[in-house]
Amino acid sequence: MSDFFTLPFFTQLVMSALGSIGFAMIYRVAGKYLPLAALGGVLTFAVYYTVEFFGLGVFAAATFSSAFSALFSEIFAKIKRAPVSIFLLPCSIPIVPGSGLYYTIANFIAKDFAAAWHYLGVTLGIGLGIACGIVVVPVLWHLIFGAITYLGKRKKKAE
Amino acid sequence: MISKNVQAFESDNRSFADHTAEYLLCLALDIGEGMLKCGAEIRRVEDTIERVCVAYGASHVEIFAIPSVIIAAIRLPDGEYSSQVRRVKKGGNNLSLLERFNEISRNICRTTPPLAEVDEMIRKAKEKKVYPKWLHFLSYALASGSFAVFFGGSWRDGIVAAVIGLVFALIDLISLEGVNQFAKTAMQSFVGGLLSCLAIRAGLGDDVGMIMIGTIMILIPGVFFSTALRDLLCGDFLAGTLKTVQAILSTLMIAFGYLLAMFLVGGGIL
Repeated sequence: MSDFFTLPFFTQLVMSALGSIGFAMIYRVAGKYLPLAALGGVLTFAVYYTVEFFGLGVFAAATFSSAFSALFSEIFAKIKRAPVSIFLLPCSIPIVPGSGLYYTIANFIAKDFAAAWHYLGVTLGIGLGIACGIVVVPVLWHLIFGAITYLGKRKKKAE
Repeated sequence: MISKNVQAFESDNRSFADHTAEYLLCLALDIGEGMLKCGAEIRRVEDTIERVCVAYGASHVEIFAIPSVIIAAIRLPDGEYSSQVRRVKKGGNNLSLLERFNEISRNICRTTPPLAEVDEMIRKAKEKKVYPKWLHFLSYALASGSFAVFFGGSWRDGIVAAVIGLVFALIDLISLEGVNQFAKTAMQSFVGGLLSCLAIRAGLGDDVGMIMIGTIMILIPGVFFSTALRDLLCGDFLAGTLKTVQAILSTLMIAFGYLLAMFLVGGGIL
């Protein structure tokens, strides 16, 4: 367990909070939502870290964490009656593969093409994983809520 | 319900040349255009325009949107018809404006106020500013600085990345319209790469890679790429394809900018 709670992990948690706030501000999110953006960013990264820690690979980590951030966003969008994007964009920032892109470029410069391809694959894999996670949740969400409203209407009709 | 709404038009002040359908569609498109500019999903934009038109009694609504164009046609029960095209210029993400448009559309669908009032609401929403200039700069610095540390840099790297973030914010501010988006991204990446290498040469940071990663995070269209794939998987093939191509091109531009900077500084990094 001591491997899990390392000092870099805590640094990353704090920084993902600050980074999410920063991006929320770049996207001009209203001030009252900034704490939620920070919370979402931290939790999303925590999910990513946990999944990767247990050796499931970056794709699964990206998928699970972005699915989590999408769920988080859908829930708070429902509570706060605001568009989902307000929460979704800042929250999923900590898993965007910025470092993957950098290592791809750096390895191309160093003429280490094997490593460059590897990092390109990682970058694309994470990108695809984020997309998968983000897509799955709204589909399920609308399915569930659609079913609830449908059943509610049928009940009313029966009465 | 519909006839009541049509009666409401009769009583209000017709400022749009007495063409209710024209005016209604124009306002609905104003809302749709605003949302699209702020970075809303295609489906949401189409859905909102349709809801607004239907709330005001349109019997027939056709909407088609891609990131740069909205095509729409409506027919009122009395046969009045209007079709309009709206070219949408990209306006950068502004989620609080998106939220305001969302609120307006929600309100007017519920209460259907006179169209002139809606016009006024849209105008007010566009005028209202939430963020002063210094916060714009602070947000860029905060984002790039904290991600430089996030990916393993020291606090010195974080500060250098934050300063480069300020430069990005400046470039974003002065090149608002008319500048090719990819040229801007390439320029930002080049400047970012160059400044990172030079900062290391000057002994300001510890690890050039971490500084660059922090600055790349601002430019990389990671979330944009995901929303593009989301559009694609939701069935908006045209919009999804366009956005995907755009995301790939800007990623290439980022790679190009940083590569060029690294080559120029030569060995500054590796």
